[in-house]
Amino acid sequence: MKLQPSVRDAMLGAVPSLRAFAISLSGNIDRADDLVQETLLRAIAHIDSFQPGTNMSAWLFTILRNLSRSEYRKRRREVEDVDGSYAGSLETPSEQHGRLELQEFREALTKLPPDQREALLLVGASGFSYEEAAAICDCAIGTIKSRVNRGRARLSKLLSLGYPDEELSAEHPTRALLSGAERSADRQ
Amino acid sequence: MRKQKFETSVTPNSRLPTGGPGKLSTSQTNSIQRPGRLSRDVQSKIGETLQEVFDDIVKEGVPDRFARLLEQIEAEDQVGQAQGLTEQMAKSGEPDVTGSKLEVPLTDKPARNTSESD
Repeated sequence: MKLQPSVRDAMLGAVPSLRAFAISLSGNIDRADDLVQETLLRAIAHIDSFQPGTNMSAWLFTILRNLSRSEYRKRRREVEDVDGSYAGSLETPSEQHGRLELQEFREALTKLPPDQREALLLVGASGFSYEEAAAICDCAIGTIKSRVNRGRARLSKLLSLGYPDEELSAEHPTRALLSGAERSADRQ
Repeated sequence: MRKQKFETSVTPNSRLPTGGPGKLSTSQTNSIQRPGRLSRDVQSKIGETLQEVFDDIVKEGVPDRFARLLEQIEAEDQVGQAQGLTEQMAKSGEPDVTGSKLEVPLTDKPARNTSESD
């Protein structure tokens, strides 16, 4: 069977974001690139199950996500899944005032549960809709929304940005005071 | 206090959709903060930073190894070989990682944050 040029181009076109997804998921560039390569080989081997006219990128993300899942299950007994080597390997100077430190953010991202991390990456960075992300993760749309929300809340807490608290509603007069105190406490 | 700030910060202009249904930004769909939720500025800060971290990697483009891999498969007509390489993984791993039942419509729109406010 011949690899069609149009299919090859679609695959290559998806590689940059596929790779960004893999690196952000695994926290390790080498493992991520192996995962991308494995994904491409799988995709080519199963190209018959790709429906022309559907989203090649979503299909590749699905394969990579599933491969990553099975690898995670295999690895979790051996070593810590996210070793933070990616987070630790890049020092990006913070250029913009008021922006989060990218380095700090990467590290926080590696601390999220995998479900929340992948949901955030699919919806918040890879440009997929909730519906597409749900199809990729083989779960309900509501599940994706919930994971995205919990992931954001967790990141916010990890980064000391303030986080939702049911007891302190937006109207609570001491909210600002308390959240300010919590932020400085978290910074210690 | 924050709630009031967010409500008054919504100008009539910002309510207008600027593109298709997939092009609404977080700030347009989350104009009112609800109790127990992250404030809008925290949400957008997280969203922007996540995007920036992701895009930094996307900007690296396609590493040579992947371009070479596909070139090689194309040149040598190795689709069958790729099948052989993954056969073992298919046996030991998940029965069908390619998600053949996946039905994702073709879409060109970025479709970012379409229903942030759920």
